Order: sequence, then C-alpha cells, then structure tokens
Amino acid sequence: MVRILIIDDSPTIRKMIRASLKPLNASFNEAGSGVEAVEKLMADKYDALTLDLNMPDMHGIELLDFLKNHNNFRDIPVMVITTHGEALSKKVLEAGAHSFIVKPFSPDEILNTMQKMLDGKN
Amino acid sequence: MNEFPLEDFIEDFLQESNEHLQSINQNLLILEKSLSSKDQLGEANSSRISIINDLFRSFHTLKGLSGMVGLRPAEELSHLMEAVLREIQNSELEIDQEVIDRLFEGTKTLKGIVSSINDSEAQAPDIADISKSINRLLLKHQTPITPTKTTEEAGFANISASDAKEVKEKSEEDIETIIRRELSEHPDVDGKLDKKDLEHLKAAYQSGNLLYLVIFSPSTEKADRGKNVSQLRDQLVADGSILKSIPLINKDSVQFAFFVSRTKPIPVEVFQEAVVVPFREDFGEHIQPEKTAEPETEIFKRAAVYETPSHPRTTSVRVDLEKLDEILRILSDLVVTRSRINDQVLKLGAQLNNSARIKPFENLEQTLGQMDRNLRDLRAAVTRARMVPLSEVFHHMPLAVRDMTRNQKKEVRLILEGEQTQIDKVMVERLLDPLMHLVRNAITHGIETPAERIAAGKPAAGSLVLRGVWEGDQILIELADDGRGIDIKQVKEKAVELGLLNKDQNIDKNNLLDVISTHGFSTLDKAHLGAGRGIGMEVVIQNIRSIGGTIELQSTLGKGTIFRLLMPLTLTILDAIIVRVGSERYAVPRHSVEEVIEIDPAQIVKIESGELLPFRQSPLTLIRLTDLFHMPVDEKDVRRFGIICSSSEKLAALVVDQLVEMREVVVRAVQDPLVSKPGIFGATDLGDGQAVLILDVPALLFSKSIDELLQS
Repeated sequence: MVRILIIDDSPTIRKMIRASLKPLNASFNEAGSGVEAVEKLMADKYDALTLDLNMPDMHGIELLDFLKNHNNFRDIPVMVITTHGEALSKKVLEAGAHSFIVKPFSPDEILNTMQKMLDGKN
Repeated sequence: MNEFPLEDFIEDFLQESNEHLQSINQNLLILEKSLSSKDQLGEANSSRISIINDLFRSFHTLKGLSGMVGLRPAEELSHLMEAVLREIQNSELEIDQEVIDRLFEGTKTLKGIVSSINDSEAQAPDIADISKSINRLLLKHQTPITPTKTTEEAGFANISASDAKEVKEKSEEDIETIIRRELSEHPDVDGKLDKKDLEHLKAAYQSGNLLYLVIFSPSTEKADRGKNVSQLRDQLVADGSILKSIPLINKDSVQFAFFVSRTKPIPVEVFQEAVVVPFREDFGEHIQPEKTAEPETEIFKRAAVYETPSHPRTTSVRVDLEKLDEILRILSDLVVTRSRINDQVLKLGAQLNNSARIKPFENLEQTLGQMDRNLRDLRAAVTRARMVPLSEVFHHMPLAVRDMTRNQKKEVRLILEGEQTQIDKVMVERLLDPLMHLVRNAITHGIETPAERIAAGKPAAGSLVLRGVWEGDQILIELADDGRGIDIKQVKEKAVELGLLNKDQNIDKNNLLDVISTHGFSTLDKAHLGAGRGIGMEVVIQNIRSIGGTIELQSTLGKGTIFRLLMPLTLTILDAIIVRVGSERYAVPRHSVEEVIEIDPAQIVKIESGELLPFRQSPLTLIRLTDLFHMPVDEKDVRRFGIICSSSEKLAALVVDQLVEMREVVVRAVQDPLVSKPGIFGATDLGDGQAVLILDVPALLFSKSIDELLQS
C-alpha cells in the first residue's frame, strides 16, 4: 500500500487533503510541523509527501532543503500545497518539489497531481 | 470540477478558525499592553517578535482555511491583515494604538464572517469599511524606516538618541561576533542561518533572554528511555520559545538543532541528552537593558504559555463531542445493564442456600466485581477524554475586560489562575455566559473609576482575579475584585423600594445573593451597556444551578467582592445515594450531601412553620418529601434518616424513610414540563426498568420557590 505523509499545521487542511486522496486507497500519516515531519520520516518509509510552507518552527522550503540533502529522503516526491501565490512556485520547484498547488485547491487537483507523482516514481 | 462536500469540514473549520481568532485576540492584547510600557520593552522584544510571527501565521492559516470553504470576504480580509503583519515584521510599519485598534476591528469582523458560515439567516459583516481603513493604514505608514529601528528604540530608550546609536552598533557587532564564535564549532548549523535568522537571534540576545543552541541526536537507546525530539522540544518551550529549528544530516543519521530563547536556564536533564551551547556565559560586558518591571514580564510569560496549545501535536485527534456523548451514552447503558445483572445475581444468591453456594456462583460474583471496576475505569477514561482546560472559558475574558474598561474609562488588571484545570467540555460551554456576566458585573458595579480608587487609597488600576482549582471531585471557580464591595444598606433600600423586601426584614450575607438576583433588581439607576439591567444575576444563578453547581457571594464594603462557584466536573454519570420515601425511591447526588444522620422522632420539635431537630447545638430545619410532593404521610413514629445539606451557613435536612444503597446513576434529562421543576435534577434508571427521580436537594431545601412548590 502507498504511504503518504501529510505535513501541514492546520488540522482542517490535513483532513481535506486526506479526503481528496481517499480514492488512492493509501495509508496516511500526518505531521503538524517540520520537526514532527522529520521525526515521522525517520520512523517510517513514505512514498510521497504533501507539504505546507508556512509552519511554526521550520519553513517548508527548509524542510525541502533537508530532504533533498538526505540520501534516504531525496527521492520521495513532494507536493507543496500553499496559500502563497504562484510567485513562489519557481523557488519551490527549484528547491526540489515535484509539484506545486495553491490553496484553495479542489480534491481533483490534489488527487490527479498525486497520481501523476506516484506514477512518475514507479 | 469535483468540489469538497463542505458540510464535512464546517465543524473543523469553525473550531480551528475560532482557535486562531482567540489566539489572535490574546496576542493583540499582549502587544497592546507592551505599548503602554514602551520604554521597558527591551526584555520583551524577542517575545514581541514571536508574537508577531504567531499573529502572521494565524492570519495566514485563516486565509487558507477561508479560501478552502469558499468564504471570500474572510479570505480577503485575512489577506489584508496578513499584509499589515508582514509590514510590521519587515519593520516598515510601527505598531501603535491605531494599528492595534485596526487589527482588533478586523479580527472582530473576521469572527463575524466566520460565524456566519453556519447560520444561513445571519448577514455576514461587510468588509468594505475595515478594508478601507486597513489600506489607509498601510499607505500612511509606508515610510522608509531602518530595519533595526524598533529594536533600537525598544532596548535602549533610556539612553539618549546619539548614545543609543553608538551603543547599539557596538553591541550588535559584539553579539554577532559572539554568535559567530560559538557557531564556528558547528559550521553545519552556521551555514543554515540567513540574515533574517541572525536578526532574530540578535534581538533575542539583546532583549536579555538566555539564548542557546541545542543539538539533539536521536537514538534508539534514548528513545527507549522516552527521550525523543518531541519531548525535548516540549521541555525547551516550557519557559521559552524556539526561534529556529534546523534538521542536520550527519552521514546516515539526523540531528536537530534548535535556537532557543528562554527566560530561565535550560533544565539539567537537557544537558545530559543533548549538546547545549549557551550564548551568554563568557560575555559579561555587553549592555544590559534595564530589567522589565514585573507586570510586563508576567504578560510575556503568559504569552509563552499560550504558545504551546496553539501548535498542538498531531498525536491527538479531534473528535466531535457528539461522538464522545454517544460513547458515554453507550457506557451509561452498560452501567444500567450491569445493575440489572447485579440485581439478578443478588436474587439468585438469596435463593441459593448459603451452605449450598456453588463455585460457579462465587466466580460469577467475582467476575461482576471485576466488571464493576472495569466500568469505573472506562467511565473515568471517557470522562478524561471529554476534559478540556478551563482556559477555554478564561481566554475569552481579557478581550471582554479590554472592551469594558475602555468604554467605562476604568483600569483593570485581570489575573487568570489555574487555566489548565480540567473540566468537562459541556460544563465549559455552559460556564461561559454566567462567568462573562459576573466579570462584566465586577467591572461595572465593583471596580471604581481610577479617581475614586485613588481617593479611597487604592491603586488606580483595580484587580480582578479569576481562578480555577480542583476541590475533590468538584471544581471551584473564584472571581474576586478589589472594588467597592456591595453596600448592604443601599441594597436594602432599593429592595424595599422595589417591594422585594419588607422594611423589617434584614439583609445579611445569607440572603444577599437571593436579593440581588431577584428579577428586576438593579441598584444602578441607569442601565449600562454591559450590566445593570437586573436580569443578569437571576439568569447566572439559574445557569449555574442547571449544571449542578452552587454559587456563593462574599462582599466587604470598600474592599471588594468574591463569587465562588462550585461545579461538578462532569454531569452525565453521578455517584448517588438511593433513598426511599413511602413506596418511592429517589436518587440524591452524593456531591450535594454534607452528611447523613439518623433521626430520632422523639427529638423532633414541631414549630409553626415546620419541624426542627437539635443538631450539634443548632437547630436543623427538617423538610419532608412527603410534604413537598403531597404524598400520603406515614404517621408512624419510626426512625428516619436526614440528608443534610448546607448552603451559605444554613443547615437543613431532607427526611427520608430508608437509605437503600450508594451507586452510580446515569443522569437523563427530564423534558416533561410536569416533572421538570426546580428541585428535580433529572431522572435515572436503576436497572429494574423503573424511572427514578434524581433530586436536587439544595434547591429543594433552600430555594425560595419551595413555598410555591408546596402550594402548587
């Protein structure tokens, strides 16, 4: 089964992302901060991540930077989901994210992008 | 395009948004307080930065959330507010009263829009006006200000301008040197710091806080001892805040680096588990900003306390209260079923000859005992799951106090204590209105104007203390003000004037609460906006009693007033004493019973208005249920029992025929208007299928409506 880690400091948004990805029949875990995400990444293997940018303690881009510099995490595809506008998308994609989605998002948007990300990986 | 089924997320949206709105209000209050003590802001500066960051994040999250649920006006307004915060972060906008006022107004409007989502009738507030004034603010303040100006003004306001510049530059250089020097041994960390991070570290250092770099390497050995990064993080934020977290890669392992700003030194345990680099130790020469005066430090300590719950860890899940209610309902049914089995087993036991007791029966009894304990544990666990901190109510008060004091030109210091005391979620919700009313009353009627206070030899600012503590299986909430107190003479005059009291009746502390809570009573001639219409106290007392609480009042003229609310922790399952009167059984909640005595009928003294019993040198009023409920009276002079309750130093006892047992009962609300009367707390099922009334004994014994009850 595909394992996905949802990283966002808003529990409501996490629930919405989870609901959007439900058709994938994946197993989900959630993290509310960057540090918590790293902790969960160390404890378990994940096939894909969704990542918020503005979080307490650690910015999403810092986390991306960390992931891309770590052998075990480098290849996990990351979908950045953020309220920041398109202006940031270049920076985020340069930092190693596979896709970039701006809130408000629709369930299909998330699902299709995730599907593509997972397909591309295999 | 497929859309979200909105109704699935409305509850989550409302809850999360309201948490953010509340945290915004708290943070704004703290910022506002810091304005009035500007020349002492130095120490608080790093806290100020983290408060502004928090505010920014809250508005940012609100923007995202509102967009997701399609609340365009809320999305737009949060976006504007976020812009204001960004300007402040970038030091392009200076915080003054105007900025704070606009942010408060915007938050209020935002709250209105958010609340309107669930109410199709409600008209969402218009954002045109507030948007205009925020935009004006952004335009007006857009003058180039040097990035460090706030820091400079804040930390060194007691030094003249030219000196300050010099001192600042020197010490900033020094600070940068010391930070760099300490970091030279940790180049991997140094490389991750950008200019903005460095600014934050410098500000924290300058503010007089203790600054540390903590590097933690997780290991299975540490994890086995319960030492992991989350636990460490909780320890670090207990008396401070994390300015920055950096995960580091070291070959195949990962380390976490935290920059921490703290008011207290790092606990020793942390030194044992992690590498701790203090930034202050060997650098004694830098200029120390003057120590902040006590109240301000307290304000910011509180800020640190607020921070923790605003980023709840995701090991917790949100559960609808309805679902917990359902679990509790099923559990309640289980308690009833257990009672049924108990009854049957007892009957079975009676039929079995003692000597013929068989092993399986004894086993059955033992198993039942075990099940009893399991059920108790389960009940305790579910009850714990429903518990929330009192802060959910208390946190509404600072904003209310701010509004009231501004409108009434009074000064009030609100002190909250015991906010972490846990209480049932339902109780918390029903406590808010009564407590809010008491707080409004305290400010309107209790606390004097600054001029009056100074004339009376008191400090200009009044104190209002709101405190919650455990008291056995109940919770005690106290609200104390140091205002003018209640003038009993004035209350009496007014009461006589209104025809509530005869001239020869006296007011003492026992009936004071009754009088001031009588419908229509108000000593203020002009009704204030917040309080003074004379309908409040009556409702307060009704509300408190409806959730099984009691309320007491103590007031000293010229010194102040204290309200004491004693509340059960939860409502749904109670320990009760089952009593029999005539052929009927009743349940009496144990928490309301002071003592149970045996009554010798020979000692009863009959007087005109009833019956008394000498009891420890004082007369005890006896009240018979048979009289209250107009039941056939058993005239036989047999021994009976008295259930004693006390209320504001009055003692009375309810006379019952027999004490049946003590047990857990499940409270069911009584909806039938014929039965739902004062004095009836609810109904329960004892397991034999018969409904039994749960009595609210204090209400039965002390309520003034007893006479009416007797006549009805």
